[in-house]
Amino acid sequence: MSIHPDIVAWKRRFGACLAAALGGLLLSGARDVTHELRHREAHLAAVSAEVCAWACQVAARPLAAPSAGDLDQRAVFLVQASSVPASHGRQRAGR
Amino acid sequence: MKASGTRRDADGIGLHTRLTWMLFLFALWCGLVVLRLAQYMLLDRERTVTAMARDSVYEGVVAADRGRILDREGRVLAWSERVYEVSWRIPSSPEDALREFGVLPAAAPGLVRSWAPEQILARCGQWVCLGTEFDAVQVLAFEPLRGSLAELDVRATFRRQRVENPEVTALLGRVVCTADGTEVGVSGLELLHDEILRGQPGIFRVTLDKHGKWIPETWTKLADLRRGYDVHLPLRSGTPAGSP
Repeated sequence: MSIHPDIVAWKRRFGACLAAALGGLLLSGARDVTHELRHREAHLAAVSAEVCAWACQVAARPLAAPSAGDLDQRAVFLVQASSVPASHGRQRAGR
Repeated sequence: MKASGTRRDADGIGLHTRLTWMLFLFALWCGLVVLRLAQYMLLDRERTVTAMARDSVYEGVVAADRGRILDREGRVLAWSERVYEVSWRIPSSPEDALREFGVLPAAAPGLVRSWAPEQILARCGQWVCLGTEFDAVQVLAFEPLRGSLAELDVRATFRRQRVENPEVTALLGRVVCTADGTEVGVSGLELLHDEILRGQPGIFRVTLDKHGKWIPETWTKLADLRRGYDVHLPLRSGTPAGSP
């Protein structure tokens, strides 16, 4: 029995493990990215509807509905202007 | 034959030494990484998480409109109006100050009082109030200016309005604003019906970019915004002058 390690075999094993790890990372990353891209429009529409509903309530009148997949910047501005930080009283942050 | 065997032995020992060293260095590197992670996750966890949350997440509260008080005939006796105060920080540089000053009247015609350029230059680096009683529609005129003005601050407050009738006003009582802008009744009918009149403030969370600006698509609602309920009193008021 030889005490010398089979370097070539170990290289192959190491390469296979590395390839498997990289492949797994790439696949999971690609899956996350495509998942986000697929659901981005629906997510934007939901956020836009919520922000618009708040802006209408703050303004006490209806605002023009934003186009699909687009956030109404006026609604965002109105909600921003009407908000105060939750933990810092009237101190302003994140404008 | 003997020389060849000696060389192979020497190669084997050299390889073994190199592998040992590589393994040692790899273990050392892993140990350093683990120690560093442990420092972040165990020792400095609180400080790091607080700093990250402070810098990257904004949690805001939108105060709810207080409900109205009406008499038995449906006439409004007390109601709330949300008004906005708009302030502009004049840039320190005179060129920037005049450039930003130039876009103000065009974007918000009639809302901003006229300033002479000398007055603007004399206040470089200072905050100036552009108005304190803008309503929601008026304040929207400032929205396109966000990209043009470096520092524009808009704050909302409530004004509790009442009919001009001293007897009714005394009966209605007073409200004060809390830190999050919510109006709270402190006397009279405002205090008596406070739970009904006071709405539920909306709470949200949004992620900030590296400039501290909102990333709107990360906006998440944490609590619903609900305006207060109206209260109908079993009394008949005199003249509802001044009611909306």
